[in-house]
Amino acid sequence: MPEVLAPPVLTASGLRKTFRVGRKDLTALDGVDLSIGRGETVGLVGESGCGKSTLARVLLMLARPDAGTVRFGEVDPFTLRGKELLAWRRRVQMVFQDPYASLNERMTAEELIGEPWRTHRDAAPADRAARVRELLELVGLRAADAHRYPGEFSGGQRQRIGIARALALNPDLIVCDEPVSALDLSVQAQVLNLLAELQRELGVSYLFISHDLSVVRHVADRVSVMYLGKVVEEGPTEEVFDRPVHPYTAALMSAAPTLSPQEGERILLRGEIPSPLDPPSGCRFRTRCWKATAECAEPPPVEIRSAGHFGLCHHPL
Amino acid sequence: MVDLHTPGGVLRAVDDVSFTVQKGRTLALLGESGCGKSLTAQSIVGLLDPVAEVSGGAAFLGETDVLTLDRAGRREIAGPKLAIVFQDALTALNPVQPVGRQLAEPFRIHRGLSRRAARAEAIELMGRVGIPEPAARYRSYPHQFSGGMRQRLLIAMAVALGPDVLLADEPTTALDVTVQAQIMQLLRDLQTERDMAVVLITHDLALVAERADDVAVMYAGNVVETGPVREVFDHPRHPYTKGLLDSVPEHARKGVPLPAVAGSPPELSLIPSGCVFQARCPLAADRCVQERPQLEPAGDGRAAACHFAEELTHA
Repeated sequence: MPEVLAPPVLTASGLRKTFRVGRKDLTALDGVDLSIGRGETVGLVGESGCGKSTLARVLLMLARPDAGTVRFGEVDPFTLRGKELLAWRRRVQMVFQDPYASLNERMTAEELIGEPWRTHRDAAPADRAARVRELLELVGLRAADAHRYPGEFSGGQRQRIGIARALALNPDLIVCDEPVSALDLSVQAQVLNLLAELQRELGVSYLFISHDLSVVRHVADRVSVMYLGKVVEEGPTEEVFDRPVHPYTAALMSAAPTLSPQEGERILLRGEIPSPLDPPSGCRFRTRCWKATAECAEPPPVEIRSAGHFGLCHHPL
Repeated sequence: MVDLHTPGGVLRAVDDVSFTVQKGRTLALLGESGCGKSLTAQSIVGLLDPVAEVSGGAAFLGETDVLTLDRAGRREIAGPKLAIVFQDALTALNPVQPVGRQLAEPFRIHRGLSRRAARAEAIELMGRVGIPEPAARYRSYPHQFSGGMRQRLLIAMAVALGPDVLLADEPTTALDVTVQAQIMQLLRDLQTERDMAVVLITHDLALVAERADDVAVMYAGNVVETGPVREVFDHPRHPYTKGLLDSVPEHARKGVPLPAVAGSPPELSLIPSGCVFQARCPLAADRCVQERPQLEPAGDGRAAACHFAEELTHA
């Protein structure tokens, strides 16, 4: 994997996003930084409510952050409006979790894959039919499948259609939100292989959101771990998995079942994730952390482990 | 055997599934969606959907074939002998009744306890499964609990009367990993404490590796391989088991394609007459098209339904 980082396709810094829920504020993103290099896969892990999906929506330019910036090269697309914003949006596309819910049953594969060109007209190829067939073959389907409906495909094939649709606008970045978790295990590997192959061929970058740590470890060059709206640890995948800084990262990895279980030593956290409406002060993880002390009520310092690998913790491992 | 009556005709969803599980032990029914593992569990507990019908076979709980029981017989064993934990606690719990009442119900019905005594039992049980401040939460409704807490309540209901056999159908699939670990630990503690046999229904190979003693691997309505988990996972004798294990990214080298199983599981209406796995099998030969392999016991507690089990063993 590239040691020297390629120039980032996208840099996000200090992202904040708050939603009003009743009389309370829910801070979904609380100062999130993220950068993704060209041809790089960044894994994003964290449990429900940690802000993964909000981050994805901001990067897709579907939600405007309250503070912070997103940069594509020199441009912050959120300073733009209308047509100009639309033109930037096409650089980021999405592959959804559920290939059953994300494809309209009444559209053929050809219509589904070509639909992005109806919104982004100036990005449409001259010969749409030919390009659809090219995309179908690129994702391992047959050109003859163009006129078939989603109902005629298996789950894995449907996900391939979803991937072809994401590629239709030649994006720089694809946000893959749990792209294999709805698929059967024996089919997951096929789709993961396809994503890797496409990356090699097209140089596209992925933000890969997944709860499955063994999948993330396999596909990601770097990993960001989120907890209650904050990135608590970030670094090269092997570094983070082998030498986690943050107790939460260690607990996540320890909790995930593995094929070769070790006897004993499993970190069992107490309690559950606190409500994001009422997060703990200081270190967000302190209410469940076995290393927590009084000072954890203060914002945690940055512990730098090695180049590009850091965690936010008063008591780093 | 379980048949599904559909507008398109009768489909056999569960064809040949046999397994045994002993007190204090855990058997995993492992398979992908549509393989028939949940239908197997539902037929054992008598909760099959009306379109599904048990068309053959037997399920012995001690000396009793539970598949032959009438409604009254079913009611008698449901709870004290046999219980099930479902995947989705929100639909399994009654949304318009306080959770405490639901937990107290088995004690009222089966043990004939007074309202007050049943309430005390229920509160104790809530505490046992890790609900904080159980007496205060007795009157809360299911939607007022988190997913993990609801799953704890469901487990509490299932173990309330100390069943001999507990079926757990994907009990942690909907939960976050750190909560999943807590729930699996709770199940393990309760199993040891009450000496229950547990049938764990799951698609998660790693969970099976960690949690089960024995495994029955299912594919397209059939058990294709059984045996002690460690041995089956270390030396699979069915190409499907091997394919599943190989496609887990855990041990895969980065940058190298995962050894995926080609194709996808067959539709119920298109299950071939020979080996159910033939279309996706790297070893498939003429014999596999003509003759369905039987689950042949190998004498070491293991069995595999494959004509080439021997070859795979020595591969």
